[in-house]
Amino acid sequence: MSKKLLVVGLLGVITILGIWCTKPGLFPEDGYDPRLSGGMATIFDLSSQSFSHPIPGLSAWDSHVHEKGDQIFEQNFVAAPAPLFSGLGPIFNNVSCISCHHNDGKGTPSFGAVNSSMLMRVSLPGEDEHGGPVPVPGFGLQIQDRSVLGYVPEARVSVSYHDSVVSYPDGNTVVLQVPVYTVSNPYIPLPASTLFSPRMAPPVFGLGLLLRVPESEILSHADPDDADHDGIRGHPNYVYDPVLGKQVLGRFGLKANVGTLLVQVASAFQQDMGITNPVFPQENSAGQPQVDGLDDDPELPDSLLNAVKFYVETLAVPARRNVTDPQVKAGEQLFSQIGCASCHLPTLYTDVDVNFPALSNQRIHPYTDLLLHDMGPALADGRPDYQASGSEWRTAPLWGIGLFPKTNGTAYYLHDGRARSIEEAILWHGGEARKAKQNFMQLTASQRQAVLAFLQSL
Amino acid sequence: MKRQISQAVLLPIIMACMAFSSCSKSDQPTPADQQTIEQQTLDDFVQVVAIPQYAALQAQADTLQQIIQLFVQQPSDALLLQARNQWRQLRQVWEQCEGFLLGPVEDDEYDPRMDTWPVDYVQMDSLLASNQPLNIQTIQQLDLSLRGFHPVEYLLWGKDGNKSAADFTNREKEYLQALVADIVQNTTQLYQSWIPEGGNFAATIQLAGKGSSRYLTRLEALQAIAGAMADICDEVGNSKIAEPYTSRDSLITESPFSHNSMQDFVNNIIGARQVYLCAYGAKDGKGLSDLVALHNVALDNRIRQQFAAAIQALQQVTLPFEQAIYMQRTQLSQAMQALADLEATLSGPLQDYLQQYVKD
Repeated sequence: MSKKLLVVGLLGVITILGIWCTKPGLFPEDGYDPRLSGGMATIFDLSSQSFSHPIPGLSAWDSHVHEKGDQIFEQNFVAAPAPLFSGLGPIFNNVSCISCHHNDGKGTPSFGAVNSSMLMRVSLPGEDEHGGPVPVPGFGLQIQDRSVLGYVPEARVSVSYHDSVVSYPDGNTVVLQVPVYTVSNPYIPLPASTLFSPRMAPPVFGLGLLLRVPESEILSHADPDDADHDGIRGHPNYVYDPVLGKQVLGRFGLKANVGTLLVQVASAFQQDMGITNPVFPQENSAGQPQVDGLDDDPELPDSLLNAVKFYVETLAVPARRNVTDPQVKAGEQLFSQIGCASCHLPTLYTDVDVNFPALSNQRIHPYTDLLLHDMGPALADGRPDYQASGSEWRTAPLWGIGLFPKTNGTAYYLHDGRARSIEEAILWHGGEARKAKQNFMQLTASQRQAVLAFLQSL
Repeated sequence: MKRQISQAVLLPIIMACMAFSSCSKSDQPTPADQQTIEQQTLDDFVQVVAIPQYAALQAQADTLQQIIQLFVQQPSDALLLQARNQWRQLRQVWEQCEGFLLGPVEDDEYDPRMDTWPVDYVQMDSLLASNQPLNIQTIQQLDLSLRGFHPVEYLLWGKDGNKSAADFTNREKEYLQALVADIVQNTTQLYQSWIPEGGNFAATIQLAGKGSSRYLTRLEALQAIAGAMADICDEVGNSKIAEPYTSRDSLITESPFSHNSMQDFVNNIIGARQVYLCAYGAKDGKGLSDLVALHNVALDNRIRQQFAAAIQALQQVTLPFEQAIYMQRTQLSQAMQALADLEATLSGPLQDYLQQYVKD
């Protein structure tokens, strides 16, 4: 009896060892299609709608919810009380999601107009009870620069530019435009110590993938003390999540200042449009003279809030173009060699999520590490946001940047849209990215063209 | 005699040649032919369809402005009726222009500036009750839901569609004039943004693959045009009709005061068909239809039939849309099905066809 057991046991051990020993090799790098920036969640479309497609494989019901979210994303809201889409304002930045996120992409760097995609964040020095920015009395955390009739905007914000010429060692020059922001006509005086941070609406596709990159993977790329002495640190932001009631890893927002899509969408409704919702049931003007005093909160039902959250979570990533072009391939190599890829990480992997096959366990190419980096004084806003200092920004994902001219008509880059081309955007880099920028400037003109051709292919 | 012989010999030879050339049909167009037709399709889309329609849009807006001017000077129910009819004319051209929502209309927000709904009654009422000046400058500072076609519709028809000329207040007349002036300005700018003397978006399309800043290949431009056709079919079927239909809610319809919604839908699809066939008014040119027929006549026929079926299905709805969502649900459901079929062909096989055959 015990002999039999021993034999069976031995056989079992041998089988297990056998499985362990024939460990399959890694799937070869060239077995992947480099066009699939979003893995299975990639869509092939070159048109102005290339950021606006659902991920493949949604069920009929999920497609319906996505569609519903799409409608609300595009819907103009109107002043309360109204039978439909009520609750705009009384003070706000824009009237619909799509007004700022044109074609689900970036927008136009202006303030206060119907197609403006900019807003001005404000705060006082210090930290609130959760470590976040301190609201400015009478203004909150951002300036609502438009209002419904009968109310006044909190202030006017405007931007003007002056030129600054950058010369390459080979003699070529590029003109950068340096923004100057002016806040005027505040409805009550702004404290002198107010900190300002202008921000332009970023694209909203591929967020379901970024959400599913495991926290451990993001943290594995952090190097807060620069232990490897490459001059690049990178650290995560931890932010307070009002739904979960605790600190979470920040993934979204230009300073990684939001942890979840629900909070991102809900705060955009409440802060940018003045539409109260189950997550933020108070008007953005609560406690200020301009609160509407209506007993209609939350103005947006949770079903619609969740539909919009689901919509941005399930927007697919556009495929790359020209990936076999020799110039593009050369540019891709240079991009790594000169150090861009240290922060703009080409490849990340998502976690397993059985509910969404297209988002689950995917090999993706967002070109970000989702970490904060010091970008130098020229890009600094001087306004800390949780653990992000006044000169730190989250590495922006680069997927889709080659399509901005299509989705947006005129393309603008960087956190406040100051760069009119990808080349200008590179030249604005400083701080931890200074070395990579200098390496770029040392390249020959044709090598620089190759890097730009590669970036255009994203 | 000699002459007779030569004629007698020549004629059969010519006829034989003609017969042979038509029989030895070398069906595959040469790459050069193919490229010529691709280029012509882009040229004619601009010259036959897009620019003339935007010109017509501007002309219709001008006419509406003249009628409103007369109405404000001497309000009468006859002029009110004329204004309402002209508003429908303007909408007809506009909705047909929505068959190609690409370029400036999309980049520069002409669509939301002119065609935003629902109308914001609350703000409109407070605006009318206030003493804020109502002219084109002040209008253009207002929210989008207080500008464009639908506030004009609301003013012309009233909430219940039974307004008479005597009901108009002075403030309403001022508002109406300012709104129409704003529409005229927008339609003028939109037209200007396409023509060579203006923003010249025409060149952006026509130079696709030859230096266009936006379309690096002809394929990209053709796909954008085909994509816009599919998008409008999708929007009419899955959004404009489906939303009020599924929620049985007549409040969320596009043109509720004039009961013009069904006409809006039909004109959207007619607009997309005009793009496909490259035919507008009395003019026609080479369109996507010709390009498809080069290699796949069956697909071309299928798209034509599905356009016809969709338009016919929409025309089966005889009641105003606001009533049809309760009373003619079968017809609406059939129309949505016809639109879904059309959309599936436009976004599937048509795109695949372009991908396969347009090589530049």
